[in-house]
Amino acid sequence: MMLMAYLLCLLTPEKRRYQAIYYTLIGKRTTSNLYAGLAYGLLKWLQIYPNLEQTQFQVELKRLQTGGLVEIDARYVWLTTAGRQKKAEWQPQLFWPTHYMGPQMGHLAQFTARFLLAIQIVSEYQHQNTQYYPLATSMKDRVWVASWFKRHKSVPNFSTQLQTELTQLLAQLDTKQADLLVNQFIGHHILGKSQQQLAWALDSSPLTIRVRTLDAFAQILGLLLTSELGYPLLTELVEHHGSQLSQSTLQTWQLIQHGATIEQISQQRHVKVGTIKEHLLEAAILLPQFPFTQFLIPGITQKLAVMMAEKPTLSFNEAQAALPQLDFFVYRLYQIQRQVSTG
Amino acid sequence: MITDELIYKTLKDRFGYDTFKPGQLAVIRSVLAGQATLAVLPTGTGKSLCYQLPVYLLGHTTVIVSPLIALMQDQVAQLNYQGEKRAVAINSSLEPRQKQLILGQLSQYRFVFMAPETISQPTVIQALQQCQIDLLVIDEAHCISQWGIDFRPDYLVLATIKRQLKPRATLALTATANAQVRHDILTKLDMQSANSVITSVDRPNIYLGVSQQVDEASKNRFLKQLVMESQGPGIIYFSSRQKTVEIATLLQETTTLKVAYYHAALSTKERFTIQQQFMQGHLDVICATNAFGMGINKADIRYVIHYHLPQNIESYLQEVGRAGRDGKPAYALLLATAQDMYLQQALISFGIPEVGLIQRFYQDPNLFKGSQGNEFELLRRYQQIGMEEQAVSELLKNRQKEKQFALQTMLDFLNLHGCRRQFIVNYFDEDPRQIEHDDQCCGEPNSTAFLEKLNLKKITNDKAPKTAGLDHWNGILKQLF
Repeated sequence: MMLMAYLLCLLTPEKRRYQAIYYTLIGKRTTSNLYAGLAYGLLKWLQIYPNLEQTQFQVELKRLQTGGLVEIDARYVWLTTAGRQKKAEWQPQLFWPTHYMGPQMGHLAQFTARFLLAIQIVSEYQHQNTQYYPLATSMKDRVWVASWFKRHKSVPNFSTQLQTELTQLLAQLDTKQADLLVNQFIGHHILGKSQQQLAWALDSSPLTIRVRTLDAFAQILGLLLTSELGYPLLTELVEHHGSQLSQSTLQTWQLIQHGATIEQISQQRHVKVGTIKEHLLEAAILLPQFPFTQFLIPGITQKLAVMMAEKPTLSFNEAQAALPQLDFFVYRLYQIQRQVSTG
Repeated sequence: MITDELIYKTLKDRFGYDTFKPGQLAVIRSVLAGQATLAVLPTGTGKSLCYQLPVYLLGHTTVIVSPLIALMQDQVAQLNYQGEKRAVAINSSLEPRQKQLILGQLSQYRFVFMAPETISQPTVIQALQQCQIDLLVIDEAHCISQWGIDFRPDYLVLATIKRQLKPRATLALTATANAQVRHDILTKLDMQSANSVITSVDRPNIYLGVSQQVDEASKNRFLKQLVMESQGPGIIYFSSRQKTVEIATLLQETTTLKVAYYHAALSTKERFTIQQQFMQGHLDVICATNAFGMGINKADIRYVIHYHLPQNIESYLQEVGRAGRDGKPAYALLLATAQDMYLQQALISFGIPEVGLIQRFYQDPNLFKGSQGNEFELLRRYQQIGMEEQAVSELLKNRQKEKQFALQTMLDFLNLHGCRRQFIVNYFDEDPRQIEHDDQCCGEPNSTAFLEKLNLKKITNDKAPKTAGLDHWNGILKQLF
């Protein structure tokens, strides 16, 4: 029910590609999905629900359709009049994250796992207990937190310092959000509450609790990223080199910043030119300061601008009919620039 | 020569027990003598001890092949908890760099858990060949049998692996294997001369009940009444995730029980929290799919209820076996409505590719490159291990038949007039013994009178209200540190 309501609020009377919405929610970062996310204004929800299952997503859409709230064809979904009314009714009733910003949240799940494990380990250490089940995480995160712990445990008042950092950090959250979060912590003789228990205790839905928790962690991550000096211990749990870009795109992007051309990067990295262009499109969608003019020739963009002013949904084929030399990369990059500048 | 005295000393020092459960000592002796061994020990009778104890007497590396990542991680966590740090799981959840690191120092580990698809990788084989392998354990060995309920094509490579690794001994472990499956295990693992240690599947302290209800509403009423009257903790198994949520919510809202639901779509953290709460006795009842239970080592589970009909008697028994590990009275209750039977009927062909699909897949596998679903996973694995189309078709046709047969057996069990314990023993055991049927054994359908007879009726009915609201964050932080 709750998931259905959230999904409805992501739709409009204009047709949207439903697979692109699904991939945005689970965080699949292909250029075409990212572009759709940008065009639909849904990029801020990128990767907000990584383990949403395709079948579940389809079931919810079907329910919306059965309820007469949306129409669906082979590729698209759009709101009916009844759907628009429902959206207006539901939207204000749902909890919407205010700190979660899709493109910057690529490492949120990893940070959350490390953060919770670190608290558990230090809590057990403080109570001199070695016999406990560590929170299930990936091996990578476990190794990371274990080495963090080894680096610091001999420092006097280590756990007090961590507690102080946590207190300062949590004090900046809305009290309700802080309570919700900390009630899920695990440590010595503290098992934490599950999200279903929290939902029952607060007469809320598990999905709402999930979204609220996610937003609380997003806020914490944001605070750690912006005020490094205040939280030396916790900040170390954040993967700093992690930008919003995927690993390979990041490499391409760094080379571009050092002045390399697309062809040079292609040769140097033994990667096809087409792939490098995909990387650039990803960077253009996700990075706020992308230098569009470096890749767009004014003569062509002016022509595209004229055509798109007449027909905003101008397809590549239509554009190419008028401009035979047009490269898809340029077409798509210009589209992105239009989207980004109109916000 | 390792004496029994030393074996018992290790049992006491390492595991804190004075006695073995049936079958354990025989398996351990056999393994220590360097014998290939097949052990069929029912769920809940300490299968892992059969390889864990020898590890401490042999001193080098023991490799355990295990079918599920979650299961491996639970086993490593369990060993860590027992104070054993030299245990590791190598599977697809590792990053390449970490995997390399672990493989580089593999001989330092006592317990190495592996997925079958991992162990066949050349780098892994190489690393293993650098170790002195005392024991190769094939856990859930019935997965190698196409007659088994959880056939895993990846298991078929294990005989080759065994020849490459030359372990001092091999141990095939399973909880549920009838004669056909046992034969298949021995052949496919190339250990025909193995010692077989087979104990009866019978667990006398678990009462076996069934109840057929006319419809779902009456099933829910019966269930609610039953769990309210039962001593916990208990597990209710479902074959649908949605139902775990529904019934947990019903019980949460209308009883004073502490309830949770559990299924594979919950986040890792959520599953961890619920599992720990259950283990530490903070929950009365858990509504779960079969994702819950493997690696759950809780001795005092008093009941296992099946809300939906299991697909086969092997899964049923495995799940039931989680009750009463402490040897005290416990019960299993199988609920069913006519509708459930149709549901299971429909589920039988789910995930098994049809002949037409197999054909098309073999003609042009690229066509299905991005296709998701069990059918495609299965076909890709078969192709990878070099099976021909004809063989796959035949195998899957048989599989369908087997599943049909398995469901029929389950239905027979449900509709049985007579001793259900005897039925199970007859189905699984080599030399089925005569069960002395009485009212603590399996009893009348649709009745809850057994609770009193077994002393499983809840004595106190605590009306303590469930806590509402949340604790203040600052207080929790103080408790944590």
